Amino acid sequence: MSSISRATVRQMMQALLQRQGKSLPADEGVRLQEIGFRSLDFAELALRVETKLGGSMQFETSVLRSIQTVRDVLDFMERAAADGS
Amino acid sequence: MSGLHLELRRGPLDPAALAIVGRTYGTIDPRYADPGFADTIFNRNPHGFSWHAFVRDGERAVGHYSVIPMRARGGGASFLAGKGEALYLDETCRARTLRLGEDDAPAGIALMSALHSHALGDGADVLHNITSAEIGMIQRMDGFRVARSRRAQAHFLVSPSQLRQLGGRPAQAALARALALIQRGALAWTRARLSAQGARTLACGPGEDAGALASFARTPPPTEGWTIDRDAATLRWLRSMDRLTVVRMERRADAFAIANTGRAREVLHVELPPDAPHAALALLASLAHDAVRANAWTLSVPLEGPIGAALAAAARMLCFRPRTLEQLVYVKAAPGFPLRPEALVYDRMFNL
Repeated sequence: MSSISRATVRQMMQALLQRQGKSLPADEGVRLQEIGFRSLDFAELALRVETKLGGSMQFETSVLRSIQTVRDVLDFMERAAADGS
Repeated sequence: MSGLHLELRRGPLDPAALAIVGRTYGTIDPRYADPGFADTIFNRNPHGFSWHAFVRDGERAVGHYSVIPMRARGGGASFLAGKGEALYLDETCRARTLRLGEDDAPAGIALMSALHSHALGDGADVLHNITSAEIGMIQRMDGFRVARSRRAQAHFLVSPSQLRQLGGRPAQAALARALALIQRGALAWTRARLSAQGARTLACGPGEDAGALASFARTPPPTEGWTIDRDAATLRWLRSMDRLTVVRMERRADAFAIANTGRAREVLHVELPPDAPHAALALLASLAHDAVRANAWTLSVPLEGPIGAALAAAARMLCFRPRTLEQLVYVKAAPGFPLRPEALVYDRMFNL
């Protein structure tokens, strides 16, 4: 399985939001509900990251329970991608 | 601006709570808008309850999710499985968060995760879900694993235009439509021939199916892995929701077949005494005819195991098409579960 950069995940998140007419602010501290990023968007982003990686990511429940900001999403994807590689 | 509140509850649900399910998930699956159906599936299953999560925005109910207990068996043991069902979150709340322990999490994720933990902490040994890739991803993030079941089957295509696998593939879709026409012709010709030979079938109503259900309940458990139990209480419950159909030969209570109902139908059990000629073909033709009348999408016959041995020739005569299909089931077990949760033996008993 290949690796993926934080910048690439960020671009993918931006593309996902743009498709819905929303935008991803530069500030990673912005809360997800402020930009309209839904649970299903989170899941779709993870599926796209997996496709890009060419393999399955690994997840930890404890991390899943603290997803509130853009930074949390990027951290989560980065860690899950690293654990799966 | 959160304001969303999560309530976890072990049923049975009162009529007011059932009505909430009807107003939420009932807008997705109309069966749940019927209080009688919701009462049967949630409250009148063999365990008499289900686990529920309700999401409220102030006084307004905006979300629901449930885990329905189902008895399962495998490895020489019987245990309590739970099927995730009836997930709904109002569109206006999907970007909002819910309190989950010490943290806030996206509402849809929190809704599912909290109820899974609740059910596993309240007696469920293993949870299973059949769902979309997106919801499945959320479940994987919550510790679920993916069980991949690949099964050799023969298919009768009732409504090929409804099949997701054919979407965006016009050539295959055209072939499927042509195959469906051939199968429909074979079915009509076979039924006419069987009728002329006096090989007629009957649909068993409630009270006429005891022998068939008892035979189904005697199905031996899988030698490896686990599956949904065929115990008498589970079968009666599924029958009470019209999730099983039973057909038998006229004047022969000992020659019958059982299939699930719904869009994707499958023969689950068959009993064919050697002195009942034409029974395999007549029973399969009857189930295919029922599937057509009910506007189902497919009827399938598993080609491996005793059902395959009994019905393969009949399936060929009705032009059923052999195909290997993969089914993903998302599974998560409680600590101490004695089997690998992903080692499940899938059939349509996993679907409600």
